[in-house]
Amino acid sequence: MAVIYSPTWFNPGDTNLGAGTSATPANTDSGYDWLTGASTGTGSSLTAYQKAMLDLKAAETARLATGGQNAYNYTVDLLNASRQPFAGTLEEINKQEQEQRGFVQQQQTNLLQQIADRLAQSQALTTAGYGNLRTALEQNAPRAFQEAQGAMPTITQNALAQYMQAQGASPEAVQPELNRLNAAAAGSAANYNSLLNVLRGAEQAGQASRLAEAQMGGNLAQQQLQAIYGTQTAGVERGVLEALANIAAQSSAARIAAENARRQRSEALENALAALLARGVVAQPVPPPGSQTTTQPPTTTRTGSTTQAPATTSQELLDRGVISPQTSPEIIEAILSNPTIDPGIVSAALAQNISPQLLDDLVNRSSMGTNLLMPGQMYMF
Amino acid sequence: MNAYEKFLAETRGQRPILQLQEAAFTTTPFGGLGEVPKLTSSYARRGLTGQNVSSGVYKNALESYARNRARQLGYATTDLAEQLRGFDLRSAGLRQNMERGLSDLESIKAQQISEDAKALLNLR
Repeated sequence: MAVIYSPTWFNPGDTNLGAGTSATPANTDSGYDWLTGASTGTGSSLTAYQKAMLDLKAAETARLATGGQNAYNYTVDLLNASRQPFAGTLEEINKQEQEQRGFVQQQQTNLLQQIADRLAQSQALTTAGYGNLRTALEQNAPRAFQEAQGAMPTITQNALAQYMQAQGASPEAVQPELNRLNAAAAGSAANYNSLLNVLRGAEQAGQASRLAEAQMGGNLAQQQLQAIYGTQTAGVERGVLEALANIAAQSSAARIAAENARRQRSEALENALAALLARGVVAQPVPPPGSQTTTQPPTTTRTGSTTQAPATTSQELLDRGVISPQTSPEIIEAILSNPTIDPGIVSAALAQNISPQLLDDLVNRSSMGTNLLMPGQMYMF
Repeated sequence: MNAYEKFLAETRGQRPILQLQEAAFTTTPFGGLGEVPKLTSSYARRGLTGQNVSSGVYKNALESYARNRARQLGYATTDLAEQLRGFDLRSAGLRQNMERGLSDLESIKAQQISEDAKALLNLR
């Protein structure tokens, strides 16, 4: 947005050309003749001193004008440059942001790949471990009771049979007792074999249970590995999101800081321009770079029949002889803002060392046809 | 240990059986007669047995002795067999414990591999 600079006002002391003299100046056309002291009779030494002071003041004013203009031009150039966006800075910020995002994404890829690799290794280990366990369990099934010897019924031999037969006794008399004993032995063996069968069943059940336990252990281990993998993957994703958010926040803050710096620089330069204008070292208000300059339409002077466009610059006033190089910027400003003012009034104002506000009042009255500033008179306002 | 105990038990169990078997006809270490000759001679002194002599009393006594001897031998043999079965059962139990221990070792090893796999995956 373009800013229209308005001129600032001067210190009245800067236009202390008359040094508050009480001598009545002679009625001259230029308004400066009275300073020569030729018609006042106040002494040549005072006149020479005032002349010297005027020369010094004029030289100072010229230096200030030249330096001010140079400072103004330089500041305007800087301001124009500062109004351009900080392309290099923004480009660097964008580049860094892209690099950081790329780094984070590469880290994410690497971490996920590492986690996936470890998962594959862990799954292979777990599968191999529980596979070996199952093989070992199957190849080394408990067979202690399976292979235990069953009991055989005891057969009691009758060693006396032949002797008894020789003695005329019947060996068959012993047979009932032998049958009873064999039955008891067979019952004992059957009980033992039943016990073995029970133990063999428990043995087989234990084997099946252990195999199932191994299978469940393997499945549980695989599920735990998957859970760990999921947790780690989620952690990586969360970390990546946080990192990307931080990068975005840092980049945004960097852009805002760059924009603030640019604005502060522009404001500082604008303040410097304003200060230059306020000091009055620049001849006229200068529109800021990029702003539209308005030109006033030509008007006729009030005194002549010939038409002449009003002066719009101090240089034109100087060329026309309306002002001198020593004329203060405030007076020039007043003339430029009121093209119909009588330069004599301005000269009188110079002689009276009046304030800018009073000068405006005089200009207004002059435009109404009342010439209140007549040479040789003291005006009290 | 179990095998040695079984050996000792078998030795001790066979001893009464052998004694019962030998006691029928074998003389004692001090020159005494076996149980059967002793029984026969006691009935012979009473004229209840001998050449051309056959009495029912002697036959009954001999059959009764034979039944008692068979019973004692049967009991001894059964006791020994049951005692040996006990050792066999104990041996089977010990073997089962060993096999279970080996299976436990395999399970622990597989579980340790699983824990190592989890630790490996946890490395970051």
